[in-house]
Amino acid sequence: MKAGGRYVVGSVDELPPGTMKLVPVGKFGVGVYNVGGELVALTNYCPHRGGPLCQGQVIGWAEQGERPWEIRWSRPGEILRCPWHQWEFEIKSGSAIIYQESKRPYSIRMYPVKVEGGEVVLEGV
Amino acid sequence: MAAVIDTVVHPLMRRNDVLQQYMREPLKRLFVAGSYRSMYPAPTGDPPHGEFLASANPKDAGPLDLPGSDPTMTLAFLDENGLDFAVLVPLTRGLNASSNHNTAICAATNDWLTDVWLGERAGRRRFYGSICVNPRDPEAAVAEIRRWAKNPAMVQVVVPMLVHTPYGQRVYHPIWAEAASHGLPVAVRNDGGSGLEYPPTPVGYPRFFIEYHTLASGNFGTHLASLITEGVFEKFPNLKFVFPDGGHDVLSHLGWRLDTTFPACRGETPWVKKMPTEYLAGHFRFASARHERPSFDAQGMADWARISDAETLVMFGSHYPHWTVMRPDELFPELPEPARDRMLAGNALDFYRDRIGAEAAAASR
Amino acid sequence: MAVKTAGAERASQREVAVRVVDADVHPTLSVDMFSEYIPEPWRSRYYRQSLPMVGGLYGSVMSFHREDTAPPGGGGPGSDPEFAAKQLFVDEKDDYAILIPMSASANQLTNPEAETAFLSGVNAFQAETWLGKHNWHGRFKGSIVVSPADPEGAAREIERWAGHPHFVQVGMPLGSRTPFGNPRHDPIWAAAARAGLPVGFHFTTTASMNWLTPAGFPSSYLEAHALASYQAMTHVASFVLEGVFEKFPALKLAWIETGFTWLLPLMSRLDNNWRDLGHEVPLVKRAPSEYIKDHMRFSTQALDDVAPFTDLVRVMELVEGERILIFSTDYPHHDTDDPDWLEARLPKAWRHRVMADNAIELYGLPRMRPWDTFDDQRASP
Repeated sequence: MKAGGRYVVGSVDELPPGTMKLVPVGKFGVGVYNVGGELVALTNYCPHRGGPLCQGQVIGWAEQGERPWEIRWSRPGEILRCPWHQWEFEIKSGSAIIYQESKRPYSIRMYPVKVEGGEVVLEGV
Repeated sequence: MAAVIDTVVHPLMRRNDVLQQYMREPLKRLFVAGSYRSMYPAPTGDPPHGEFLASANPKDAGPLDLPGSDPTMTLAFLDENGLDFAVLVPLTRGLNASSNHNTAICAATNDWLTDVWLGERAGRRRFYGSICVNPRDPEAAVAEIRRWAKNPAMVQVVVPMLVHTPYGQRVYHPIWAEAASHGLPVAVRNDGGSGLEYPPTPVGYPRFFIEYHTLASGNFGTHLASLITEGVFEKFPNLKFVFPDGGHDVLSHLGWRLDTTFPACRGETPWVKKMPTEYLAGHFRFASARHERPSFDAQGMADWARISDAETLVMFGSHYPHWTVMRPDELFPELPEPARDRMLAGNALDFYRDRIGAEAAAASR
Repeated sequence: MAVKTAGAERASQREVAVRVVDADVHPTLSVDMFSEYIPEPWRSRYYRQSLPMVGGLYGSVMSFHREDTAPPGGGGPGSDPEFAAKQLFVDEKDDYAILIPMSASANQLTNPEAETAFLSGVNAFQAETWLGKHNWHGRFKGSIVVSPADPEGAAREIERWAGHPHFVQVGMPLGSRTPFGNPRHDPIWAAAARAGLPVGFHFTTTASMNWLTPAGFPSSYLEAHALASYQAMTHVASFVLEGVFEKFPALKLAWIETGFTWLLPLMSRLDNNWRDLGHEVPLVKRAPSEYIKDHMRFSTQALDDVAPFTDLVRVMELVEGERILIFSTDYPHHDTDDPDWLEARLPKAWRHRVMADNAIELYGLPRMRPWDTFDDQRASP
C-alpha cells in the first residue's frame, strides 16, 4: 500500500501499546513499535553488525539500585535488545544507550511515523 | 637529558634472615621462604640465584648474600644508565600460609626498606618505596597503609598478583578506599615462593620456566577484568593500578574482548557505566618489559604502538637486578622522541604526582 | 586462485566452487538424544537418565542463542539438522559447515573412562544423524569428540572413526588440568596425526575448575568469558615449547572461538623468550611463531569489537591473518558474524583464503562440490 514516500502500516487498533509490526519496507524491513502510546519506526538492521534487530526482545533497563550491588529494573517496554550480540537500544531515540556518551555513538536508522485518519503511516520511505 | 624514572627496581635483603631482625617475638622465630621466586628454577645466570644478574652480587659476597642488596650498587646502575629516580618494589614471598605471619612479614619489609633504602644513609633521595600489605587481611592492610601514608618516600601500595580472589571483589574494597584516600596507587606484582598460589595458568602447571615466564606477566588480566566489572572505579574515581611485571602487550586483546562481550552482559553489572576500555587510560599503567615487544618493521611498530596506546599506558621499568633487566635505550627505539619521553618519565610523573617529590618533578622537563 | 563467476557456475551446473567454509557450527545435543549410543556398562550405570555434568557455571542475562534460530518444529536452537541446513546453506551462504557438538564435550570432572564412553556415544550419534541420514547433501562435516583426561581412550576413538568420509577433525575442549603440550597427551596427537585429522579446540562453559584463573574465580560472565582466551594462549605456548610439532610434524590444530588477537603478543613473547631461554627446551628447533603459522589455524569468530575496524584488520595483517584465519559463524550462538558482513571488510586479496581456502586445506575438503537443492533455493528465493 505504497503511495510515493508513504507506507500505510495498518490501522491504529492493530498496534496497541506494547506491540510491534514488521513491514517489508526498504532492504531490511521496518519495525513499528508502540511504546506507551508513542509510535516509533526502526529499521530492521542493527548498526553494530547488521543483525535482524526487530526480532529482538523488548525489555526493560537494568540499572544500579540504591543499596550496593542491588540491581533495579526500570523502563519496561522501552528497550530493544538485538537478537545477535544483545546490544540494548532505547526504542524512542534509536540509540545504543551505553554508547550515548562514548566516542562512538551508534544509532538505528529511523523513519518518521504518524497517525492519519486512524491509520499508522510511515514517511520518507 | 630529561630525568628518567625507573618504575621497577627490586631491592633485596642482604641475607634472607635480615627480615627477622625487623620482626618481633614470637613470629620472628617462624621460617620464611627465600626472597626469590622458586616455583620454577630459572635456567639463567648462576645458581642458586640464577634469576638475578651475577654483576649485582654485593662485594665479597658469601654464599648466603643476595644480589641487588647493596643500595650503592643499585645507585651505580641508575647512574650508568641515566636513571634519575627509581621506585623500589620489594618481594615478600607472596601469600604465606599463616595470614598473621604474612602481615608481620609485610610490616617488617616496610621497616627494612625504609631503614636501608629510603633513609638518609642512602644519600640524596633517589629511591621511592612501595608499602607492602597483606591482601588476605583487609583490616591489617588498612592499618599498615595508614602507618606509612604520610611518609613522602612511599609512593604506592604493593600486593601480590597471585591471590585467591580477584582484586575487584568487595572483600578488598576497604584497602582500595584507604589507598585512594591518600592518593596512593596500587601495584600488583608477581611475588610467589611460599607456595600458596593456584597454578600459574588457567590450565594447570607448565613444565618449563620458559613457558611460565612467557605467560606470567599476563595474569594481571584477572584483576583488571574484576576491577572494572565490579565498578571499583565508579566507587573510587581516583584509584589507579600499575602492573610492574608488564603485560601491556596483552591488554589490547583483553580490552577488546571485554568491550565485545560487555553489551550482552551489561544488565548483570549495571554499575559499570562505560565501555570497559574507557576505564583503561585513567586507571591502569604497565611497566615496560624486554620480552614483550614485537619485532615488526618501523610501520608495524608505529601502528602497534598506536593501536595498543603504548605511549599512554607504558612506564619504563628496568627490573634491575633481575635477568630481564632493560635499559632506557631498549625502550621502543623505533618510536618518536615525544612518545619515548612520556614512557621514560612523563607517565610516571603523572601517575605518582600526588606522591613523587618536587625534586623529581623539578629534575624532569 | 581463480574464483568462479556466477555465469561459470550456471554453465557447469553439476558443480560449485567452494567459497565459504564455516568452521564453527554447533549441533546442540542433549543426553536423551544419544544415550542409546553410549556403550555399557557406563550407559546403565551413569547415563540412563540424567546428565551428570556441571553445566555452564556463569550464566548471563543474555540469551546464548540467536533468537532467530529456534526451529519452527520445536526443540531449541541447533537441535534440528534440517532447519540448521536451511539457515546455513540457504539463508546464509555456507558451502560446508564444520560441526562441533556443544553440551556434549569433555569436562574432565568425571571418571575419564566414563567420559570417553559418553563421548563415543556422541560420535556414534553424529555419524548416524547429522553426518548420516541428515547429511544427504554432504555439507555437514563433524568432529570426533574426545577427552583430554583419557589419552589412550581418545586415541582409540580417533582410530575408530579415522577414514569416515564426514569426520574431518578431532574435537577437544579448552579446559584442562595440564597444558596440552605435556607429553601425557602425546597418544592423542599421535593418533590424530596418523589419521591425517586436525585437532580443533573449542571454548567450553562446562565444569567449575576450568574457570579458575591464577588469581581466583571471577564473579561474572563478562570476566570469565573475556579471560577464557588465556586458556588457549597457555595451550598454544605449551604445544610449541614442548616440541609437539617436532614429535608430530603432520599435526595441525584449529582454535575455534578462542579469539586470535592475542596471537600478536603471544608470538612475540614466545620468540623473545626462545631467543634467551631456548636452551631449556632443545626440542624446539625453529622460532615459535613459525610453528604457530605452519601448524595452527584460528577462527575469525569471536571477532573483537575494535573501533575503527581498520585497526582490527591491521592486527590481522601483523599476525599474518591471510594464512591463519578461517571463517566461522558460531551458529546458532548469539555472538555470530554474517559471512557477507565480514567478507566485505577483509582485504580483498585475502577473502578467498579466509572464507574458504585455509579451511579447505586444513580439513581436506574438495574445492568443488556438487550443486544441490540448497543452491536452487538460493538462486531463486
